Amino acid sequence: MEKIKVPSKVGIFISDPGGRLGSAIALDSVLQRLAKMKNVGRCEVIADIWSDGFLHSVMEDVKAGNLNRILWVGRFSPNQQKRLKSELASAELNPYLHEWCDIEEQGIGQEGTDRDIQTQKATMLIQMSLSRARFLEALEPIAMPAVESVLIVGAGVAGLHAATSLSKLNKKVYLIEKESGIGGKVAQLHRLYPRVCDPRCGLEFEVKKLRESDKVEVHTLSQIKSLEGSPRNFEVKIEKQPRYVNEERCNACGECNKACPIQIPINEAFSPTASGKGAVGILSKKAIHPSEPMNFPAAYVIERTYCPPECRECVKACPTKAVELEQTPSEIVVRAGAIIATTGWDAYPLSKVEEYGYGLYPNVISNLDAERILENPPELKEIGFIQCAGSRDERHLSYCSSVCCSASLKQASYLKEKLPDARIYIFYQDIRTPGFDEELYQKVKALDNVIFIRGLPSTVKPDGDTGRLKVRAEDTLSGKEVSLNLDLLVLAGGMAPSAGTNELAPLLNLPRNNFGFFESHLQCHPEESQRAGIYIGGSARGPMNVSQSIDSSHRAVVESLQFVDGTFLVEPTYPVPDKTKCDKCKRCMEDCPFSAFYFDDQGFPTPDLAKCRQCGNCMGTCPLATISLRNFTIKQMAAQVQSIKASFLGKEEPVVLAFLCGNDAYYAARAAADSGLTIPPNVFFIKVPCAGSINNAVIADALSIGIDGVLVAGCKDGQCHYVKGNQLVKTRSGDISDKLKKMMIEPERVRFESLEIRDSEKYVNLINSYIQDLRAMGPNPFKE
Amino acid sequence: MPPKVDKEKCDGCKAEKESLCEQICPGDLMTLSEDKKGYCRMPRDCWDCMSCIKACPKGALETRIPYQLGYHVARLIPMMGTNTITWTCIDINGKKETFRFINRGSADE
Amino acid sequence: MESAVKDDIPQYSLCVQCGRCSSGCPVAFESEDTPRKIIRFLQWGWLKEACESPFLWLCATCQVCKVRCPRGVKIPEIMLALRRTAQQKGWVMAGEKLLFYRTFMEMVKKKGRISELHLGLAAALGKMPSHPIDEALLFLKLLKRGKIR
Repeated sequence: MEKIKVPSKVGIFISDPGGRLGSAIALDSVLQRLAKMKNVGRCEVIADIWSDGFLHSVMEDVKAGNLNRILWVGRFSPNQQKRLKSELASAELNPYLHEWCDIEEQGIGQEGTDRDIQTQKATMLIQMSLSRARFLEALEPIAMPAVESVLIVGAGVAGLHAATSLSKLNKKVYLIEKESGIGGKVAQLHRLYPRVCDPRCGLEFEVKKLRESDKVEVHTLSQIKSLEGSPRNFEVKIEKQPRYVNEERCNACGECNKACPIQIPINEAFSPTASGKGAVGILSKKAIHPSEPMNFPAAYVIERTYCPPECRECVKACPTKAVELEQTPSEIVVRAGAIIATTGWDAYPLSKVEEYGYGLYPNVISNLDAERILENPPELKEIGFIQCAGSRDERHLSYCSSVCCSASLKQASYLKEKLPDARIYIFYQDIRTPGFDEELYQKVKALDNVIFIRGLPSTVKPDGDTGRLKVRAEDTLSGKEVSLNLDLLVLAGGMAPSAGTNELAPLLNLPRNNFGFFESHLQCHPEESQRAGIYIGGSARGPMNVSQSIDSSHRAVVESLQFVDGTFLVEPTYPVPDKTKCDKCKRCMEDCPFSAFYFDDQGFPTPDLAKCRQCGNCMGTCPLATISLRNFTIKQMAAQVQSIKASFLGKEEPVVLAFLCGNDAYYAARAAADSGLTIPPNVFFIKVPCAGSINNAVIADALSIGIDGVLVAGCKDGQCHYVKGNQLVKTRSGDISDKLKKMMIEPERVRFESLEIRDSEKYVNLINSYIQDLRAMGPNPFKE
Repeated sequence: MPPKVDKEKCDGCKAEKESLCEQICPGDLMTLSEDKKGYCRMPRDCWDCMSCIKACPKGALETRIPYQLGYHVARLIPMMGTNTITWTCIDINGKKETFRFINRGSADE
Repeated sequence: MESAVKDDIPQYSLCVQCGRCSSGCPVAFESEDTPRKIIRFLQWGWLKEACESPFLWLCATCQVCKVRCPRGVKIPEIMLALRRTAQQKGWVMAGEKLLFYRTFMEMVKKKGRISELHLGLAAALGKMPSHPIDEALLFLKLLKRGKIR
């Protein structure tokens, strides 16, 4: 860190409109004490800071070089802070050279406390802020150039919607898809609930926009190979598999398809024969066929693995000479400011749910298979649906897949339309139709011969040689056992993370949750992955239905815009390692929740400014205390701590120092003072960006100058905005407690607590009980 | 007496090539075992300089004072602040004394 | 279930088996079955089970279930329809309950009004009283209090 060349001259201005502070504390003696401090240029109590004369005199002093940092004491709203900063910016005072000290939120000015003690505490609080202000540096926000393009991985319904809305915003889009055509899972569905319309209709609507836009580049048969660069300027290598048909020349006339001699299977669909026996009917296609699932791009594709090597029928048949059998995999490199992962979901492999005989009996099919036969269902009498086949099951998917109930209801209603005489049995444990899907449920309930059975069958067996299935279940509602013979059994399989998700996660270094989907802060930033510049849209994040995934992809688009807007602004309060002290232990890299660090050319860990969210966890975890957020350095924190005189209440009375997380615990403490709860004079708090930014060295400092108790207050588990800051500081403060134990000092002198934003009362009770405990323990042996 | 490692706490400096105790040991005595926990490979050569104890970010190391100086109750524990070091010295009778020093190299500001 | 019978019974398939009818029913404690269960039998198409349930004859048609039903199922009407079906099909549980209802209806048909004394005696004489002395004592007690007129 660079040395401060010009000595700091801090102007301390205590705003006291109406004399409220003056009546609570002896401001004269505060001023006297402060005036003697190092680096103090001017020190005044101001009744009206907005008076012209005052601001003018401050500007004069700044211009003359008598003041170069300002500490404002009192309560200033964010707007007032902004105004003061901009007023003084005209006198060329950098806006980062202001420090704010609100002594009222620490309990000063409350009735019922001794005036002398309050005066002493207020002095110390101002001294604490002064020691921070002294080390402030002039900073400028950093503008980084950002590429105005977005890479979208996966051209399912979420990816398509993201691509079209970005193109409307005039951003370049690279849409990559590993299948030969776009559309994903939704294009394979027969009908969508709740309107029971054909999904192709909605998809074509988006594809039309794609065709019209010159901003979207679609790459099919493509997969990401590697990712380099940083948010706002990613460099992505993409591998393209050969299509064997020239996309530009092919006009999809279909002549090749007629000529192709090779039939390949597409999927197995159910069709009972006349005798009533179940059999597998095989629909088929040719080895050269239109793009799948949707024929966009409108070019054919050859599945060469099925082709005999010498066959050239398609080449001969093609009138436009588009078939190019000698194509090889190619690689392209694109630059993108942000990435949106819309890799979607895969059906859970139902063959793993062995008891239901999927794959064993031809008339046990999955709900996705059912979508394919709904188009033209064979004559069926008795049809069963088993819900939660694999979902909500500790042996398979432990979560609820959230769409299968509505999907089965949709299929049942559609089947009843086609086969009015069929009897449909739906085995379920709970019917979950959130929101307006309830309407669908009621609609199906009102149908004749649709029976809902609360109770899942334990096994499915063939019914002798009839080709039908025998299913036994307990109808828990009537308490009777039922035994049914079914023609067709549909298993409502769950949504599992897709193969694309599995491949992408290591390539993009994206963390995943316990279930294998991409991890994000579900309540506050659902679309933000834990890697800056990478966003998650649609069911790559978890089970969701079509409209939810469209929603989610649009949110991802909005979030991604910050990185693709030409310039990306970085607050200059990012962490900087002190290279003279850093010994490259890499702990900061390990503990960074957003893996923002990389090695610079000398091998020092350095944060990537576009990835860093400035939580300060690196600063807290550094064993040598060498990393600091700019203008929130460890040195400043230590100076703040050392400004506290631990014996100001007498040796026996404990003093508590609380480090409060700026996201919730700080608000709780401030609200406690504002709402009139009595804040004991024994407590001082320091606001930190995240509890994880508190270094053990600072805690050790506090203890060694005789502070009786250190309270670290962070978020509850799983609520931390920076993923795991609270857990990191919890283990670290545990380490220091253990050290205290060895030193024959009570380990409770360091305490970690979780506080939520509205826990004002809990905060005050906590402090009071802590003070009680500390009184019982006796003074800190280091206290002088 | 060589440093004693608390295996529960030691995390091998999170898969670093050389753990911090290994880097700092002037006699090159500390190293990582196969399970990625620090240990002293030549206990007889350790001269109790306490460097590793101060360097350990997890507080997993502890020096036992040689029996010529004190029995097992006796301890010497450093606690590192930002620019201070606080020593706690516990003698054989459990009597405790503490000393606080400003670190060298940080007195310049 | 034949369509003639089915048409006679008001809509029951909308029932989601929440059980609110049974929890509010003032007479359900008397029987093993509850209104929910009877509707469940109907949803399965088990008309005979529904008709044979003794609960059918316990129902006081107090309408609490109908008022509380979130799906608008007319449970008392269903019970009445089932009583009719049960009699037509001869699926009625033999015993005092049916005897009581028959006597009641005959009396209404014959005289146009009810005499409690007559009804009680007719019902008691028509069956073999299980506890003749107890019932006789109860009868005297009710008579003394003016509960039977």
